[in-house]
Amino acid sequence: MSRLVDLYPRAWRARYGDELEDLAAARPLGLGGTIDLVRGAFDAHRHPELVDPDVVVIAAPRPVSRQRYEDLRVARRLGLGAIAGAVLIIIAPILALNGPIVFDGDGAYRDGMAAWPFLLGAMVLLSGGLLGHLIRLGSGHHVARTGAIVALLCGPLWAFGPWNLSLGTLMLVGLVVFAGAAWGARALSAAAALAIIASSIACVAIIGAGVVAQVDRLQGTTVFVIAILAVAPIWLAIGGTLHRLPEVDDDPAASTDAPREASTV
Amino acid sequence: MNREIAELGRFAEPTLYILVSLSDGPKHGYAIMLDVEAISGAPLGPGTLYGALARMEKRGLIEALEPVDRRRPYRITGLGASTLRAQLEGLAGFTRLGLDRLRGASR
Repeated sequence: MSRLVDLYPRAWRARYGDELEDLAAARPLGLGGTIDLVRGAFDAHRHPELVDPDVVVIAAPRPVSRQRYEDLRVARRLGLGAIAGAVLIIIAPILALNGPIVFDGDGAYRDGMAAWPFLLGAMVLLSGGLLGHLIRLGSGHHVARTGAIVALLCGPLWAFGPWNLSLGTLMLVGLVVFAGAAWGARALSAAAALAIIASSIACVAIIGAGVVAQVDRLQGTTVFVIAILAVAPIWLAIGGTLHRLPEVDDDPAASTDAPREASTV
Repeated sequence: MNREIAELGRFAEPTLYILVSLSDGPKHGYAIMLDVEAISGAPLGPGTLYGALARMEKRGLIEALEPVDRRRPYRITGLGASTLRAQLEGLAGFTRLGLDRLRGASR
């Protein structure tokens, strides 16, 4: 249930989160209680005025060793790169959509080669962001790390052949696995995990609809462009969750290399 | 239904139950949940419970006390007590009217 409480707004969690955790410890929720809690989270987002925003308490990250801090600074830079990648992934489909129409033996298609460097750049920067998350996660988190590694490898490879949907699908599966597992381990915020999972599902649904509708090559470019635009929030979610740095504790006995600071994003 | 409670929409009924539960003294969330379940015979979900508590607190029907460990007790306010009284008296009048009419129809 503690993960479900994360669905509530921050101010709401600060005010009622402990009490809900107490309810969870006292009695299992069951299916009805789980549905009720999710419904309550939607209600809380619709009515933020019910809780005084002054009760918001932003948890400070735990101090870390100097070495860990330097590692996290690298992760942060990789996150900034991923955010820049969001710009590239928006530019790429726009260029593809404005490419010249070319005719060959199988009919007309739109030449999107101008978009290719931007697509590749976006994928490389996303992989960098995922590398940043691997640094931030530290040891453990095997499922999340596996998902991130799969996405990290498949993304740039997919950029070399965007029409190879299997590599793109594998990348999205990796991202969904990473987001779900990292969220479950409190290493990724609910909003970021939701953005990654929802964008991935939307992309697959759009391309799937195009395949089912058997669109021609010209229409296929449009479907592909819409699908690529749908995944742009992933870059922001990956990059935006790496920006926060903990304090450095120069007392090695007090500091920790455990990625606990990750839980506050 | 009393306007103060009726305005709470789907939280109106839970609000009434919670006010009744708190009418004999402060209780924390889990104790309210158990009490409402005993009164109404139906479980009160945590999302509904805290959605109702937030609204009641905002309207001044209840107030939160200092937490004991992780458990924060809630107490009915003067406004909450008068609202509950008005609501119960309205329901009592409604009950009497309905029963009188049933008796009249069965004669």
